[in-house]
Amino acid sequence: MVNIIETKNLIKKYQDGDSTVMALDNISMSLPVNESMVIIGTSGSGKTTLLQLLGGLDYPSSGEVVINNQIINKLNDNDLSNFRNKTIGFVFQFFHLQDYLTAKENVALPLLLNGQNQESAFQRAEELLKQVHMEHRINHTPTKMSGGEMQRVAIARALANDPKIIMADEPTGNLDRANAENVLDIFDEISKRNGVSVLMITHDEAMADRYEHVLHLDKGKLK
Amino acid sequence: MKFSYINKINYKKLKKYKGKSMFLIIPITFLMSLGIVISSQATNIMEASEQTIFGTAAESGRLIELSSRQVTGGGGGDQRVRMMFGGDTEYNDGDLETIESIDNIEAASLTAAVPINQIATDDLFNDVSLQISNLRSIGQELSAQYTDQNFSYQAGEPIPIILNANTFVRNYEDWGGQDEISIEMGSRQRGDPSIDRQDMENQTPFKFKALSYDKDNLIGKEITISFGGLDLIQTYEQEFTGSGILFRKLTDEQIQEEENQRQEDISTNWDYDKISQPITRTFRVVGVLESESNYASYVPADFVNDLMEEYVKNQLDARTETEIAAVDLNSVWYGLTYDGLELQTSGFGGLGSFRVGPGMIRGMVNNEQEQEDQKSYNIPGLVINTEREEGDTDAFQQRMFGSTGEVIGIYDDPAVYEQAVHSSDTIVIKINDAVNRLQVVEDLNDAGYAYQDLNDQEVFAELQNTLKNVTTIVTISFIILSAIIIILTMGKFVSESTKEIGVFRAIGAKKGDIKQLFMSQAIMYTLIGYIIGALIGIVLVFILAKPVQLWFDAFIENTVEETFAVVQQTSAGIFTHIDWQMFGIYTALLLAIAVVVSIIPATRASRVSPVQAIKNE
Ligand SMILES: Nc1ncnc2c1ncn2[C@@H]1O[C@H](COP(=O)(O)OP(=O)(O)O)[C@@H](O)[C@H]1O
Ligand SMILES: [Mg+2]
Repeated sequence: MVNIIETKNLIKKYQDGDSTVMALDNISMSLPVNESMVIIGTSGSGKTTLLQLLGGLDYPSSGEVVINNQIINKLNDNDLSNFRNKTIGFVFQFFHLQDYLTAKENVALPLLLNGQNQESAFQRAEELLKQVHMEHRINHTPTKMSGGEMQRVAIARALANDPKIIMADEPTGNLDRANAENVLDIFDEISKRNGVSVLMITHDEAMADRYEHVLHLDKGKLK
Repeated sequence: MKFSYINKINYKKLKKYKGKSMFLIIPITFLMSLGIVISSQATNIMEASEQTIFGTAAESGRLIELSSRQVTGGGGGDQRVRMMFGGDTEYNDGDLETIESIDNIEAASLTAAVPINQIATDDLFNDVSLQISNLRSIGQELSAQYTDQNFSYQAGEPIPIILNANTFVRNYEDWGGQDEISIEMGSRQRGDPSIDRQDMENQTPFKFKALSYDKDNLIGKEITISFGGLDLIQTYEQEFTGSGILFRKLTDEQIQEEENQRQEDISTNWDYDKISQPITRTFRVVGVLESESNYASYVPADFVNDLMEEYVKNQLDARTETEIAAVDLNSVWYGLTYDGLELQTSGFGGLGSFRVGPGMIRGMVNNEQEQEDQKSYNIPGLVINTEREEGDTDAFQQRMFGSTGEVIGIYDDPAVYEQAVHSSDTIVIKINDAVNRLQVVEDLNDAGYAYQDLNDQEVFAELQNTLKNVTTIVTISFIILSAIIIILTMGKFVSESTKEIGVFRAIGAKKGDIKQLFMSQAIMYTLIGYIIGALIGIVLVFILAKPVQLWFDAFIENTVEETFAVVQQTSAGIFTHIDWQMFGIYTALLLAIAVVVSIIPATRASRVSPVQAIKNE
């Protein structure tokens, strides 16, 4: 086992009225274990679509997605949910924390969904919040947090189940420069310490320098 | 995800978004409280109508008022005409026996008239001494025909009395400033007799006016009624002229002279003070009849026996040593006559509104000039014993002319009323069960007692059906509306939660988790609405109890009281009853609906793609 991510002839078509949009056209790529990758491309080039397929959020039109030695496009909905829960940690551009839950509860959510009891889930959540330097906000709801703080809580949530890969769609798109750098630093730290691969989408060419693997997408094709 | 945590999430969501959650909670609250109020009050109204309408109908269905008047129809003025020409029949104790022997008849009672001339009370209307005419006795077990209240007679307690509003009349004289009024009859008699009579009455100085009253205020009122005493001295004299009648007002001196003359005459044979003293008793009004066909007031039969004994005894005690010649009885001294069988009021006490005393009748019949000046007096409690002759049974003749038998002397047994055969134009009959009414009516007719059954209970069966339909409609509306409310609001919650659902799915929530999350939300909010609604509903039932009762009373007044003389009363507390059965049904329905119906939006929620988490970014 050398690759954490591997795709073969990945095709994703969208039906948009009468016309068919070829969002991903025959993508075959791979990412070795413990290594990280950035996906770069213009808007509409298929970055998000690719992330959705790699993260098990959607099924490809054809082709194969192998993550952590598992052909995930063959999994049923429940197994795919389980796969997302345990193997992938998602970080979104708009953070997507639940504003009726505290930071701790938000972070514990993937653990609770996994059937863990509250006590251990909350204990783990607190540890994770410490790792992202958010220990002072454990019992606060996201409404009172800054963008950077929210994103750190979101990262803690992504790490809850010790995932193999962190997938992030433009995680810094909504942050200022300093906070963006901070998020990227945390990603580096995690990937080094926990052996987690980071798969990050950005349209910021400058960020690509931080990663050993860069995937260029153009109109659904690898460049 | 564990169920307990799913509920916790929804609880936190509720706390955060109180306003939004009210879109589901408030309608459910409204529905539940309305459901409880309407179903409870519908049941209460049904219960109340069962008590009043159906209780009344059932009770009244067991009672038959057999009236000889019903055969020829009508009451009031025409009655007198039929009476005079023998068109009327009277029932007596013999008829009572015959009727009591008919199957399924539980009890029967003659409503015999109390044979006392002066019965009056000052306590019902201010400044009016009300004459209670047509007072009759009725057995306690038959009183339900006219009242739903206790009608038992107990010495020392106020005696129950059912008054007749038709007798609430004030009599007065209006001479129009004149001393004489003459009425021409001859020329009028060719015209329509009924118009003539009315016309004549308008011309006499004797007027009467209906008194206004409030039934509710009268019921329960305690009043003193006086029985007997001497007749009022006539304040006028009348003379038959060739073509009519002349009324002449007496002067105060003339009246005083009459009174002194009477005192002198009576005092030879009776202690004047004692004989002129009426018997007084305290009564409690237990019913006010407002019937168009019944003009009688009622007191318990047991009481009338006691009263009559005292009435007769009082006269006997007032007697002086002086002998009274038999020839003067029924000529100078009038009273009741007893022929060993029937007790009759002697002579003829009145003709319509004309006050024609016994003296005049005697004058007409005997045609003895020298007796014209001889005064005659009605002595309260006097019973004249007469011989009973063959064929002496014609009640009409007796009423018209007094007993035809020879006078023997004064009858001296105070219990004469109880011993005598009673008669009346009305017999009240109680059937053992309303079911047997048809059969009893048939048997009565077979036995020669014509009776047309006018009791119609179908109307009330319809009413009950309507009330049942109200509950059914409310329940069905409740089901439909609560289902719609849950589907719509939860549907809206789901649409607004697409992103949130996507995120949950992305971080590992299964379809089942999402389903549970939304079903739990629907059930939780519904439950909260249910609890608040139930509390408000219970409070509202209490608050609305009074208005509903007022409405119901008005309703009964406009419907049932127009059909039945006696309407059974409902207890005021009935409208505070919560229909716990419907409460339980609504609880079960609401929970079942919440569970079943929330599956629809929850399933929709579970179908939201995890892609929604990062879509449009
Ligand atoms: N659900 C969809 N239905 C139809 N077309 C879609 C859908 N999602 C994405 N697309 C199209 O697929 C292409 C790739 O989209 P996307 O992966 O979002 O690009 P990127 O993230 O690089 O901006 C675009 O042309 C977009 O319009
Ligand atoms: Mg994108």
